[in-house]
Amino acid sequence: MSLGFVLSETVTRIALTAVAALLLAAAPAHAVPSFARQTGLECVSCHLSWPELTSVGREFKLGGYTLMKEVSGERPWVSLRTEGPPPKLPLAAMLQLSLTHTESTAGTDASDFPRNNAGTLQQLSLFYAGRIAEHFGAFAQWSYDGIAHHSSIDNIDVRFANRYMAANADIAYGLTLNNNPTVSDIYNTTPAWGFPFAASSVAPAPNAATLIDGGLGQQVVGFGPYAMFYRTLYAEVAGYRTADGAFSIFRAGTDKSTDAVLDGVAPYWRLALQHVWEEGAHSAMIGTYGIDVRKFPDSLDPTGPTDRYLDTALDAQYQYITDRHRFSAQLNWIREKQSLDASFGSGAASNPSDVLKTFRGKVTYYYDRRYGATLAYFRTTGNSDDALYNTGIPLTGSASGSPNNSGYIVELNWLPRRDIRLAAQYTAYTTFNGSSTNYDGFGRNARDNNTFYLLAWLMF
Amino acid sequence: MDEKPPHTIRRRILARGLGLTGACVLGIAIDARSIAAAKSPKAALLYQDHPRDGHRCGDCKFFNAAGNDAPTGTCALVDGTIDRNGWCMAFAPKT
Repeated sequence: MSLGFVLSETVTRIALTAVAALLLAAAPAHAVPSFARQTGLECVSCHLSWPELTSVGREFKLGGYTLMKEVSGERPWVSLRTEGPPPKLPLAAMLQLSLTHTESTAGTDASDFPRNNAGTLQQLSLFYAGRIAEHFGAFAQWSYDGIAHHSSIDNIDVRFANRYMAANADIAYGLTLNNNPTVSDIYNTTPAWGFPFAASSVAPAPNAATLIDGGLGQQVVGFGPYAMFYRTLYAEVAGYRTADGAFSIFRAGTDKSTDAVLDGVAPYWRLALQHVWEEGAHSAMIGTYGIDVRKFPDSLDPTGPTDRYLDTALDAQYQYITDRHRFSAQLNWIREKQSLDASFGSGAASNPSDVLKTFRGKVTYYYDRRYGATLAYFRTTGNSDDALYNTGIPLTGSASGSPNNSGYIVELNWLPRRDIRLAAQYTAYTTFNGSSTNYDGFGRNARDNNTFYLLAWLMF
Repeated sequence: MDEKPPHTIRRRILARGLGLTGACVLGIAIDARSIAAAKSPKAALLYQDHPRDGHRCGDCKFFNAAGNDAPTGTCALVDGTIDRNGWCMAFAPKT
């Protein structure tokens, strides 16, 4: 038994005890994250239910995380109190404890399901999140992976923000320096902040995903301006490059042998049209975003020809928010054109070019800001590419070489306190790695990967 | 490719991390000396000079009245003069 495993078990037991103690505590919530301590706002002001942002949350992010309440008195360096002067250091923490049950493990290797049916400390994160100085703020996360027993940098978004207001003008603008395309976005349709907000890290996942759908996170660094014109039109452009050399802090602790290595700078764009009406009760958005990446297929040998990934997306969001009832819907379509000159030349891809399309949609309802339910549908389709999508082994293989996968997610949430989320999530696959039955060529069916996931998510 | 030994790379990353942290702490130390808060413009939080659903600034924890019966005051989060009967999206009732 490794030291890491023993530590994990001990920390899990301590954390479970802490959860029980917190649940039994009758006092109102005081321990909320750094944004709430800085502004004095309740979590539910900025979040429909965290992490999904409301109009107030979007304004806070546009303002570079710098909004701070005016309170007299000496500011402490560190504090867990929401009331009183905000602390000088905007520190916060997050703990995720989970249990995963996968429908069937028959015919697979035990190492494929390292923590099936077992409680685990899934993730522990520390945040520096809030104002740094006038016009400067940051959301910076460092995470410990309780499965891999390894810690590394997580999402980073450092901002400069300002606002130009005149008689007939209102432009909120700024600059963002971040390490994950779409992490700077203010809507919950794009991959970095899209549903599911948490999922099992030990359950089987389909082989295919577009590059912008998490494939570059914590591997690249991007810089660019953004602006919200007249609280209606949001625009952002940025250039992303490999987070190496002077920027290596943006991928600190990650696996350099698999981290994406880009050729030059990849342009990212974002345009969204939003409307808020009836005193903020309703809001809607329709938008587009994308990235054009040239990537070396071998991260350890970034020379020679590259593969090009052109990702373009359409998204839409609607939110209805009152004290008692909260509803939201998000839609997201991504189309990826892969020009695989390098991979096809080396035999790592069967075709010189491929197309991958992903659709995601979800609806969420919360009653009394405490009880919530979400229903989501996901689908990825594309042309078959045996070298790209078929590992040739049980569980992860795709006998047809097809990237297709589809299914739905049902999630129930209960927030006994504003800073504690308890969730039960069921993911059902109708197609997995190309087929509903015998998808890997070794007799495994898509539904065998159906996953039941319990989560206790605590913010401090 | 970076051919430096791993411990040299780790030291370099650590030094940069400490440098960034130092810059943040310096920024905070300078910022903490200024008393002015970074408030929001009225328009950003949809401030209006009349109540919404019975909620009004006079009942909000962020409101500071100019006097006991003064019709206006200031807000800990929103810039400018605030109407006691106003409302914005950051409304939070006094507990």
